[in-house]
Amino acid sequence: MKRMVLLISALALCWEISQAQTLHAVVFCNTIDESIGENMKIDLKNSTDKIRTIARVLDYDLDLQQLDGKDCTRAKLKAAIDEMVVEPDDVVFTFYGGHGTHAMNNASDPWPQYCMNTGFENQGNWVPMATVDKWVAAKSPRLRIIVANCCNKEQRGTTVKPLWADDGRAKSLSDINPESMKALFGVKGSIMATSSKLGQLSWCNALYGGIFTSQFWDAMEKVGNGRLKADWENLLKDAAESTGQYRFRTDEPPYTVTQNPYYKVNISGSGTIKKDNDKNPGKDRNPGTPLDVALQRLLNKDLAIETRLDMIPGVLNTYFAPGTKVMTYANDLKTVVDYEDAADFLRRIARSPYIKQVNVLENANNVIKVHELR
Amino acid sequence: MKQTVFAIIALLLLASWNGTTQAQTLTEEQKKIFQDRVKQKVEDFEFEMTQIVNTKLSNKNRAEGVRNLLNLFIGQGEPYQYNDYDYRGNVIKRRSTGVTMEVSSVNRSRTTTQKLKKYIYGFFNPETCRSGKSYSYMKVEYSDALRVDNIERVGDHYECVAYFVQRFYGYRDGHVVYSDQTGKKIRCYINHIELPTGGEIWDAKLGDIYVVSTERIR
Repeated sequence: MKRMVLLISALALCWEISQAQTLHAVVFCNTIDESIGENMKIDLKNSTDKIRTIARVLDYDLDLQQLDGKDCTRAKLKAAIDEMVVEPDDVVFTFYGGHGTHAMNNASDPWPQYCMNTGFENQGNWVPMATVDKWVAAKSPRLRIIVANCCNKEQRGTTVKPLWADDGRAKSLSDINPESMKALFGVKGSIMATSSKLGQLSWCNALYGGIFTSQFWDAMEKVGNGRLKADWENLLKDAAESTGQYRFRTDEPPYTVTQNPYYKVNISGSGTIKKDNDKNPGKDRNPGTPLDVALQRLLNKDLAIETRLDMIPGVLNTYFAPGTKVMTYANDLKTVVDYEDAADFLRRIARSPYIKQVNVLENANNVIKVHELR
Repeated sequence: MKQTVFAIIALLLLASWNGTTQAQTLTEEQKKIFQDRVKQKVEDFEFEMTQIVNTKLSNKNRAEGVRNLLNLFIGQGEPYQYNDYDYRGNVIKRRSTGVTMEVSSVNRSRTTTQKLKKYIYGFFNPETCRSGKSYSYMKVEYSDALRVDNIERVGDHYECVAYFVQRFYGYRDGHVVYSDQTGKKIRCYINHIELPTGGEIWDAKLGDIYVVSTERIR
């Protein structure tokens, strides 16, 4: 009888642990386009960092896929979504950054088509945003969030892509307050937001990446630090208003245009947010590059400080070329707040009781750019 | 999505043209960012002090603490060069012999000033793994009341002052034989750095530390 009780308790414990919420995310950006590729790299980097931060703050497991460059295709996106193992209490977030378009005479669908990494020569590779929403809805998460930064302007030659079923509408460390993020992500329903309404272009630059993308994450941060009420309407209204204040000059009439994001929020109630175990922070099923993994191990406070210090030479030799510098960015992901030798950086983060996570933003030309969460 | 040449003529800020060229003036938003960063560095200083004085920790741990702590400071505790200005605003290159720490005691009415490195090495010398103090055990604690004043421009750089409160306990034979609570202020510098790649960034470092008040812990 005792053994039966123990067995049942063990099974219950396993069941409880397996019920931790997961944030499933796909960030897919056209980073190889001649005109916007470099700017979309910024969107890819920033959005990935923000999603990692959110998962950490919420203490969710994280299942993160990045599709960029040659991988930013319809087939890979579909596969990434199909492969998700989504539980009823999970959240799915998709972000697209790249070219977008809209078929002529299709005003019944307010959402753009994602051009992915091809032009008119391969429209079969394009994906309507409404289709992405359907794919994700079919996984039945508690909350689905579909965000895009792309043009939504009608272009001749763009064909209407059929949806599977025509029901027309598918119907955010430091300064972040976890309770605000839990209120935001703890709801049930769907959110769709695109960077420009039907008929408009979307804009980007070399500093911000997508203008809407940067305003979206700014609004998320405002929710996180209490400057905005924690609900999606407020967040998207703020992001839309901020984006709408920009004016862009074009070479053709009317010579000055605006960009007004379009969004739809369908919240049907609050979900249940269970925190399964304070001592086991959310697991990252796609923990990033080997360097990301190594850095997380250095931050693992379950390991003795001497053990973490002993790991540093190995990490240094494996992942840092001689002379590599590390640049630490603030939460805005634009302002550099530290510039140090790799060895000093590793010692600093390994010893710090305050740093919970380090996200690698970029690793190129002997400079590693990171964002640390405290 | 189009990217052509465009001008941002509305209310929002106009930023620099590439991610590692931060303009030579800090925006108000950047000042807040660096105020936070200074606060984080002072917290790191406080943490490392607790590790360095703790005789129960390994020598390796304490030695790394010394190295980390000195890295927080301008010149890493060693002599350094800085710009000063004459009454006409001309730049004068000056040399400091190193960051200083003002030290006080409840048993003395005056304070003394010594080099930060010497002060830290007095608690634990990483070269000899010894302490210059006669206590068998030491402990420092810091209150949550850490404050960083607004960042102000001074010539070609920015400065601010951070205030914190430190409690020190010295033990012999298991008993506290000395304790004090000292209010301190630390001058912090945000300097312009040119990167080898040609970009420019700002960098926050801690500077001289002064005593504001000292009292016995009752």
